[in-house]
Formats: sequence, structure tokens, C-alpha cells
Amino acid sequence: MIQKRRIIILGIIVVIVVGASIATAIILSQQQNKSSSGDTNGTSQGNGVTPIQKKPSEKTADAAEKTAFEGDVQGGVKQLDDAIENTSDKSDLYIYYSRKATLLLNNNMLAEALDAAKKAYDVRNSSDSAALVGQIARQQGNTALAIEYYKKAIEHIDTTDPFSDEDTTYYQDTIKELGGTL
Amino acid sequence: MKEVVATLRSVRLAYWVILVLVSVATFSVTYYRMTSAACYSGTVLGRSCYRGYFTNAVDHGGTFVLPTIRNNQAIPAATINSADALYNLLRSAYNSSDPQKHSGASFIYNTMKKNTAPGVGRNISNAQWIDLRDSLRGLDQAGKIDWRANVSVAINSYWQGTDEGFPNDGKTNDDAYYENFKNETGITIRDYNNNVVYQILRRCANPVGYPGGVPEPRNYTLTPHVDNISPTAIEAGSKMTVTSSVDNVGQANSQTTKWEITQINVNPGKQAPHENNAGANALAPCQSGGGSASGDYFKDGNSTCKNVKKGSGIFNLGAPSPNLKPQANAIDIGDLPVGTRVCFALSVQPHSNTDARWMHSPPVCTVVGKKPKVQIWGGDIAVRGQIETSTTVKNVGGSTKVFGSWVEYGAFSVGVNNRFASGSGLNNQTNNTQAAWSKLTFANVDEFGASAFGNYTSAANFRPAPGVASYFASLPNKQAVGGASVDLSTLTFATGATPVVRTAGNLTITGGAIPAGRSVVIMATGTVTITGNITYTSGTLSSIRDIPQVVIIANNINIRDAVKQVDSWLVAATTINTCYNFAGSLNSNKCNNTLAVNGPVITNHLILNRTAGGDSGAQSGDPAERFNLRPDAYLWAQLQASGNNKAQTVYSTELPPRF
Repeated sequence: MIQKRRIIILGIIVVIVVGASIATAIILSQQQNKSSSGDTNGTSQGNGVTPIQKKPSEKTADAAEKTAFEGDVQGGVKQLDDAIENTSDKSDLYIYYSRKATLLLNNNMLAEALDAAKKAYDVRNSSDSAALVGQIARQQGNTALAIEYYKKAIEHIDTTDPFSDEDTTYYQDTIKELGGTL
Repeated sequence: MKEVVATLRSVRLAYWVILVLVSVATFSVTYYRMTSAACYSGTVLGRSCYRGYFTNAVDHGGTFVLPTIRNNQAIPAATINSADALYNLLRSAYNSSDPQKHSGASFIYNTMKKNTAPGVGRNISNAQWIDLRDSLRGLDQAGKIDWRANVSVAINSYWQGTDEGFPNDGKTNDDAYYENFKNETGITIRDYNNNVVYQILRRCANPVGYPGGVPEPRNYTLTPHVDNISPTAIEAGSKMTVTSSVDNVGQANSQTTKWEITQINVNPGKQAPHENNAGANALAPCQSGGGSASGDYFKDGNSTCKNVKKGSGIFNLGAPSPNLKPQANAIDIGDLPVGTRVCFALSVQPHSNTDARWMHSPPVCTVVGKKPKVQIWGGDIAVRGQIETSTTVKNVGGSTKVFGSWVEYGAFSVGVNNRFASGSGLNNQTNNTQAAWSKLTFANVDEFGASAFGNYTSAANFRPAPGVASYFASLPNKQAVGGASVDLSTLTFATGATPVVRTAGNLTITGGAIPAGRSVVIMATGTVTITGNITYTSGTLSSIRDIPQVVIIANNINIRDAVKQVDSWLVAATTINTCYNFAGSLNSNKCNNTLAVNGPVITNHLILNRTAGGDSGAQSGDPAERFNLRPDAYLWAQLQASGNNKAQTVYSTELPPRF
């Protein structure tokens, strides 16, 4: 009889602990969601909120890209290098390295683009930054490196992203096209 | 309570560890599923993240804004590389019954226009689409759309129509923005100041980044002009040059524009099509000669047309546009009848950023005339001044022929001889080099041996004119004509008898058929006007005394336009005019009978007003005047000088031997 009651007590404890974990997770996730958007449950109309503002780092990158588009590619690169030199913020660094890699890639400076893309990946191990390295490596003809980074891109896919499934399929297909195995 | 404590104490440490692990796992899985991806603060076009642009519905899961078409791309790089191609793709998606495509195209339209949600919704008019197309065309033409580059942005979008199982997920037919950094191939659109205003990914057609609004097109309007055609005095087979320009009035350089120069041949006296009302039209200018299809704007019952030059290019702003001036050189107008109006027009298409039709310039015209020719048979030409004539080069029967004026034997001139042939050189000639048909031109080389024509000697050393007038003036037995107008057949004397010189002041000769064995000599102090044909008998002559002959000596000799044959010597102290009786300016409809003069011609000024000949085809070289110094004139003259009715052509005499 005592044994049976102990089992019931233990079961209740287990249920309480697991339930508390779930409750905590729900509470924290909702707080996280609110802090991201302010409103994701549909109660607000979504209008009238202040329009999104570009980060200063994005504006700097835009200016560099415009300089390059108007013919001064090295000038644009220098603007980004100066910005990189003057910040330690990882979010900004990620933007600068990513935009620098894109600028160089778009001007067919693949070696420099690859270097910048790898630095962006080092700053933030994201699916997107890995895929950019893979794309540049592929354009260089460095298949092994491309496959390596497309696999990293799959590893880093955020499953909460609406395109997580599509991105996974896309990178897998790309790896197959390159002759790699999953 | 004691029992609970006792129960807890009875549990081994390993079970507590297991419980903790289960708890952590449960927390992680729950938190992971419940937490949304990153989300931007503020709004994009009035919507916070994950909210549908059209419905404002929250839906966290979804897929591509437009489905893929080929090569894993919704906007295939292989085919969508121009404003029109992108526009056509969007219109096709918009017209689809597939909700993903229809909403996606509408979403792209509204975000390109930077419309605050819900914008114009999902009912977009044709005019609104055309407006967007024109905006894209203008930007594309200005090089502001990068079709190949990667994009690198922090805002992404998606179609909410699939349920991925996320919290707040569903199947909402709408498109929404969210925060997601993307580095991949896309299309970047800039404004005219080179600022990025729109980006869209090729793989999924997701609008990304911060929509800045595609600017309205910079307008331009093209107006073509034919500025000049040259030469304006042309004849059949002439080579012409057309210079033209295009006014570009507006705010931007044109997009790549087709241009065509059209030759229009108009029947004499008729107007060219649209000569007074040329303008914008869907019809192409002229299909013949390689012109654009779909129309013959410059062709009608009185006109034919052909394209003579075409091309394409960008007309920069300016009136006229400074960088591109269509021109056509050495246009062979063809062997056209005299009087044909030859016109040229310039057409461009499209003529503005909003109107794809052609714009045609008014035709600029000239009239095909002719360069009359003169031929001198049976003798030389001797001129104390210059000889100025012209040649015509044209294609006749598939080969190039050179036509012009010529003398059968020698051409002597104190001054320059410009393109007058000797030795019948321009009879059936194909070589356009004057040296090729100047074998009896004096001189035909200069002192260095190079080709140079005329300048035979000085006027003082030039051979004297024959003393025909003085000879007949010296004869006795002159008789006055006795009237102001006369038929020469009434004034004859027997050939070989003592000449009867008829004198007059001003005299009109109405013509005369001179029979065999009869001659006439007229010596007038004033002007002799010939109004009718003077002809010798065409019957058989059996002796030198049968030769009929007419000698007309006067101060001036004028020949009426209707006269076609003058069998006479013409000796004028001042002027001989081959056609004097026309009003106004001379043209091809006046003095257009060929004049044949059979006899020597001596004068101070020879005015060749006849316009006959020089037509098209085989008649291209026909002369307007033909002067023929026939043997009958020599024989008759010899008879007058010798009184003998035999002409001695061979003379021999026996000479003493010489040792």
C-alpha cells in the first residue's frame, strides 16, 4: 500500500516538474515574441506603428554600395573597411562583411568576396552566411568548399523561419548538383 | 507530508537526474516551438512583421511569394532580364486563378509602388500595371536595374498560404514581411539618383529590403526631321544623301529606338503620302527594301516607297538629339522618269516612353530633272572659252553606263574642258574617268604628263574662225529678201551658179523644203528667227551640183522650240539660241524637241536650251541638240570655191627627177 502511494506521489512530482517546464517555456517564448514585434497575436491592426528604420550600419553599407555602383568599386570597399575598422558590434560587423562580400561578388572579385563572406560567417554562424560562402566558392569552381558550406547552411537553418523547409530542400539540391552527398 | 518526504528520500540520485533531463528537454522543445523567428520593430509599408499586407492577418508560416518556374527560380535568370519580361511575368501571375500567384503579383505591384498597406488591394487596373511597366522601362533603359547581382538585405517576405505548423500559423491568402537576412541572387532596382528602391529575390520572388518606391518614368518624346537632301537638282540615276535628326524633348534619353529612312517616289504633279500631315501612326513607314513589317505608311496609289537605311539607337536628350543623326549616303534613286518627285522621310519607333507607335517626319522632296546632252558629229569643236558639260552615271540594263556630251573628232578649247568627251568617247561608255574618253581632246595632259583637259593654247594663238561671212559678203549680186517673213524655198538659186545672196535686217524664216540643185544664202544684219524646219531633199543626188544647201548669216539666230531640223549653215556674229521662245524658267516640259542641225555652226555664243533626251533607260544618252557637219557641206563649199562640178579628192603631178 505504501509502495503504491509512493508511486502516485512520484508521478505527481514528475507531472509537476514537466508541467512547470512547459509553462515556463510558454511564458518565456511569449515574452520573447512580444519583445520582437510588440504584437503577434492579431489583436492590433498593425497600422500606425512607426515605420521601420534602417540601422546606421545599413545606411553606411548602402552608401558604400552606391559608391561602387557609380563606378568607384574600391571606394565602396574602402568605406566598408573603414566601417569594419571602427566597430566591434557583431551585428554591425555581420552587416558590413555580408555587404562587402556581396559588393565584391557583384563586381566579380571572387577571392576578396570569399574572404569577406567567411568573415561574415565567423561573426554569425547562420544559414544565410554559410550559403553565401558556398555560392562564392561555387562560382570560383571550389566545389569541395561550396559543398562544405552548403552543408553548414543546412545545419544552421532556423526551423522557425517560414522558409526553413524550402531552404533545406534548396541547399540539399545544390549539394547534389555539386556532386556532394548529404 | 512525512510520507512525501520519505518518498523523495527514497528516490535514487539517478532518477532525479533523469527527471531533470526530461524537464530540460520538455522546456527546450516547447520554447523552441513557441518562439517566433526574429521580428523587426516598427512597420514595413504600415504592417508589422508576420502581418498580411492585404488582410493584416497574423500568420507565421508560408512559402514563396511566387512559385518557382524553372531552375529553382520564381523569376528565372535565364529569361527575365528586362523590364518588359518582368512586367509580363507579373501580369501573367496576376491574371492567374492561383491565389499564390495573384496575391504575390499584387503584393509585388503594391510594394514596388511603395503603397502603404493594403495599397490598392488585389484589383489592379490595366492602367496601373501599364504605369508600373513604363516606370520599369524607364529605369531599365537608364541602366538602373541590375538583373544579375546578389542582394544582401535584412527584411524578407513570404506568402502565408501554407500551414507549416508554427504558432499562429494557418493558410492565409496574403503576403507578409518579416526579419530575415538574405544573401542571394536577386534583382535590384535603383532610382535615378542611384539609390536602391526595390529588391526582389529570384528564387522565390520575395520582395526584400526596404521598399523605396519605383519612381515615375522620366518622359521623353521623339520627333524626327529630314534636315537636308542633296543634291536637290537631280536626274534619273542620281546618287543622293539624306541627313536627318531627331528631337528628344522630355526628361530622359530615349530607350533603344528603331529608325528608318524611306525614299518615296511620287508620280509627277502628285503629293507624297502624308506630305502635309505626317505624324504618329502604328503603321511602319515602308516594308519594301527591308523596312519594318506591318505597314506602308508612305505608299499610296501615286507613290511607291522603299527603305534606304535603317538602324537603332538611343537618342539622348536635346533638340536635335546630339548623339545620333541618321544619315543615308549615295542613295541610288533609280532610273526614274523626269518629273518624278523623290521624297525622303525619317521614322522612329517607339517615339516616346508611353507610346510604342512610329513617329514619321514630313517627307522632304525634290523633282527628277535632266541634264541635256549635245553631240557634234562629223567635225571638231573649237571654243575660245571653257567647255562646261556634265555627265550622268546610271545603271542601265544591269550595267553602269556613263552618259554625256561629245564630239566625234577633236575638242579644242582655250579654257578648261570639263567632262566634254572627244573622239565619240561617251558613246556607250562605262568608264567614268574623263581620261578614258578624251583621246582627241586638246590638250589631254598637262606639261607634266598628268591628265588635264583643255587649255590647248592662248586665245591669240587659237585657230581663227572660218571666214564664211566675209566670203559671202564679198559676193556681188545681192538681193533683198523683201519681207519680214519668208519660206526659204522661195529664195533659191541653182547650185553651182553664181550665188544669190539675200539680204535682210531682222528676218523670220518659216521653214523651207529645199529641192535638189537649189541653194539659199541669207545674210541678215539683225536677228534671224527660224520658226519651221529647214530640210534638204532626201532624194538621190547624181552630181555635186544637185546638192541643196542653205547658208544663214546673221547677227543673231534664234530657233523656235517646235523646230526639229535645220539643214543649214548657221553663222551668227553674236548668238545662236536653239530655243528662245519659252516663258519663265526652263524645265523639262519646255524646249523638249530634239534639234538636228546639219551644217557647220559658227558663233560667238551658243545657247543650248533644248531639254530633249537624257531620259531613262536606253534613252539616257540621247542628245537635246545634234550638230552634224556632213560631207555635203564640204562638197558644196568646194563647188562654190572652185566653180567645178567635180570635187577632186586625189591630186597627183609629175615632178622632175631629182638626183
